[in-house]
Amino acid sequence: MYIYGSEILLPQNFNDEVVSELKHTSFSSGKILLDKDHYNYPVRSDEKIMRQDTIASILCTSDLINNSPIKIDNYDTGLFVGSGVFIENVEKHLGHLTRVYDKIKDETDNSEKNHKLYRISPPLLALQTLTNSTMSFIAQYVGLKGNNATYGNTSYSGFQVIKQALIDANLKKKYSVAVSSNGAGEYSFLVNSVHRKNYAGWKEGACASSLLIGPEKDAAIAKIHQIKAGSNTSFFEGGIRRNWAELLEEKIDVAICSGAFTEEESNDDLAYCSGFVTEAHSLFSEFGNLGASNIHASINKGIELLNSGDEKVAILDRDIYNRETLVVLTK
Amino acid sequence: MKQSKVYILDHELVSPIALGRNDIIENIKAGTDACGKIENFDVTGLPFNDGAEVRFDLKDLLKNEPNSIQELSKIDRKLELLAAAFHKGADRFSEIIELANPARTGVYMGVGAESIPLEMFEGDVRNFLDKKLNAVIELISKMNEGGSAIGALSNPHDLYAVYLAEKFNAKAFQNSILTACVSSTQAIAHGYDAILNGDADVVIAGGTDSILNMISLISFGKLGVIPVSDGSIACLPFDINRKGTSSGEAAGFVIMASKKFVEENNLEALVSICGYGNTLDGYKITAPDPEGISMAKAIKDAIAEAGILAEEVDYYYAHGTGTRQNDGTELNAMKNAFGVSAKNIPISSTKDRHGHAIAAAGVQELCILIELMQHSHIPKNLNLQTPIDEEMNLLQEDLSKPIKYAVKSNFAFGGINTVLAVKNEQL
Repeated sequence: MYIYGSEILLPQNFNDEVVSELKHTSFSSGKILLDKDHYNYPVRSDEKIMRQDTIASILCTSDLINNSPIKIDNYDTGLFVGSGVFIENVEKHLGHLTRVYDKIKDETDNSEKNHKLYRISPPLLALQTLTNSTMSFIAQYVGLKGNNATYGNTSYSGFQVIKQALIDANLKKKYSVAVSSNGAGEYSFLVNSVHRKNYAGWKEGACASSLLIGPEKDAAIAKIHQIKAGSNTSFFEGGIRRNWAELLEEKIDVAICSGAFTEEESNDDLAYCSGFVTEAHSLFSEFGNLGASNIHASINKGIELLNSGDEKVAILDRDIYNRETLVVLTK
Repeated sequence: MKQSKVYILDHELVSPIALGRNDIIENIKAGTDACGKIENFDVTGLPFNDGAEVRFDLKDLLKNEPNSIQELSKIDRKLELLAAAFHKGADRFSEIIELANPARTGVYMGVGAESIPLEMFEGDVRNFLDKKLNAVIELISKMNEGGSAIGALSNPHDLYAVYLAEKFNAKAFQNSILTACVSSTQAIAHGYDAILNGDADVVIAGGTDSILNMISLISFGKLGVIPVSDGSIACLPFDINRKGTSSGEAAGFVIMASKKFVEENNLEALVSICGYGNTLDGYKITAPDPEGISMAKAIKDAIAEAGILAEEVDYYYAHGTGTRQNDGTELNAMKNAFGVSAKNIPISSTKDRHGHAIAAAGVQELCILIELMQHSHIPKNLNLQTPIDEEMNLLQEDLSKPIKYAVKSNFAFGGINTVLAVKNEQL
C-alpha cells in the first residue's frame, strides 16, 4: 500500500500554560498558526464553531487533494479522522456553564436554578464539542463522501486511520484520506496527565495532517511496507513500558519514535531505540507530544529521510495506555 | 454475487427496555415504552424533561469490579452501562474467550461525547468560583490527582474500548469510534472489515452512551432535536406530528467472528453481517442533505455488498429519530435506494420506546434486530398515528413473519450515513 501525498501543519508558538492554580500545574502548549487567506479557509459562521485543529485539518486536506498526483472520486474516497480531545478551551466551552452556578448561588429553588442554567447555556455547545466535527467539516469543505469514521482520542487513533485506509485499499481497492487532528491544550493535559505521577516538563502541541493512501504504486511518494500494533492488555497499570523492538520483523537502521510527554520520557525513548537501530529520532523537543498526530508527523519526517537517502524508516508510537504501534516506510 | 459474511455469535445489551438480551423480545412484543419523565437527576425548570432511562439496579452487576472502576462508574454513566452489559453475559462469554486467540481478538467501541456531570459537584464548583478559579479545571485536577491510570472524572475516550479488551483478553486492537449517532454502527461495520481483512478472528463491537445528564440534555435541547415537554408523547417517528427525539442511554456489543473461526469451533451463528454502506453528505454540519443522495448511496452500497436485491429485504429497521429533518429524508433515501420495492418493505423505528442512545443507538438496535430475527417478529411504530407517507409500509401493527434479510440504518449529526445488511443465520 502506498502514500501519494502528505500535508501537515505543525505547532509553532509554544507558551507555558497554567492549568490548575491550586495545584500549581502548568505545561508547554504549542499552537498552529492558521493562514486566514487560504483559499479554503472556513466562512465566519462555521469558523465560530470550529476548533483550531479542525480548521487546520480542512486546510491540510484541501491542499492534499489539490496537489494530488491522482484523480480522486469524491463518492468513493474514504475519510478517516484521528482526533484528540474535543474540548479545545475549557473556559470557552465549559466556563460559562460553571459561571452560571456563580450567578445562581443564592438561588435555593431548583426549578429556578435549572431554568437559569438552561437560559444562560450557550446554544452552540453541542456543535463546538461535536466529536465528528472535524470529519464533517472536511467533507463539507473538501467534498469527500466515501467510507469514514472518526477515531479517538489518544495517539492510537492516528494509527487506526492509516490501518483503516489500508483495509479499504486492500479489500476494496479504494483510496482514502487519513487525517489526524490534535487540539492539545489544557483539557488534553488534564485527561492524559492522570496517567503519570510526575508531569514536570510536560509538552503538547496542536497539529493537523493529511495523508492520501491507496493501492496503486504509480505516483506514490512512499510505500507502507509494514504496519503492526503491539499486544497488550494491561492498560490500567500506569507507567511506561517499552517493547517496540519486539514489533520489528527485520533489521531497520532508522527509527522515529513518539509517545513521550516530557523531555525525560523522550530521552528514555531515544536511549531505548538506540539499542536496536543505528539512528533514532524524535520530534518531541521541537513539537512536544502531538497526540493523534504523532504518527502522521513522524511519517512526514520519515518521507523526508527517505528522500535524503534512507531506505527504510520505522515509525514507532506509544499511547497513554501503553499501546505500541509500528509503521515501516520504504521508498 | 458471493456474500462476504461475518458471523455474530452472541450479543448483550443494557437498554431502557432490557437488562440483558433475554429481556428484549418480551418487552418489544409487550410494547414496553421506557420514555417518560427523567428521574435520575432533577429536571424541574428545564423546558424538556422526557427521556428513556435505564432504571434497572446495576450495582450488583458491578460488585466484582475493582474499586477504581466502581467509583468511576458512579459518575461515568457510559462506563457503568458498559460494565453492566459485560457482567450480564459474562458467564456465556467465557467460552468464546477460551476459544479465541488473544492476539487475533480485537475491540471496536462507539463512544459519545464528554459529559462532565457538573450537577453532581455543585458544591465544589461554587467553592472554586468563590475563589475566582476556573472551576472545571480545578475540579478535574482535584479529582484526578495521584497518578492512577484511571481518572476519577475525565478520561480519554479509549477507556471503554480498553476496558472491554481487558475483559475479553483482546490484544489485537482496541479502537474507539467517535462518530456521534453512527459510532457503534461504524464499530460493527469496521469490525466486519477487520475480520474480512484477516486482522482478527473475533471482534467485540458495540458502543456505550448516555445523554441523560444536565449538560447533554441542555446541549441537545438547544439544538432543537429534543421536544419541549408538554405532556404529549415526545417521540413519534414517521408521524406527521413528530417534533423531536427522546433522549436515551444504552450500552451493548456483539461478538463477531470469521467463518473459519465458527467452522473450526463448531459454533452456531445467530446472524451475519453481509455488507455495509457508509457515506458522508458533505452538505452542512447542522442539517442532512435534504435530497438524501449519500444516505441512499449508503443503503444501496449495503445491499449491493450483501449481493441481495431490494425485493429480498424483509424489514427496513429505520434510524427513525422522530425529528422533523431525519424521518422525511430517510424515507426519500429509502425510495431512491429500493426503487419500486420500497413501498413493500415493512418499516419501523424503535426509538419511540427506548429513546435515542446516540453513540450506542446502532448496537442497541442491532441487538434488538438479532432477537427480532430469532423470533420472527417485526415491531410496529409504537406511537404512529398519522404517517408522513401513506405509500410507504410504515407499520402501525406488529407483524409475525420470518426475517431472512434486514437493513439497519443509522445516521449522524454532521451528515454521516451508516447502513448494515443483516442475514438471519437460523433460517
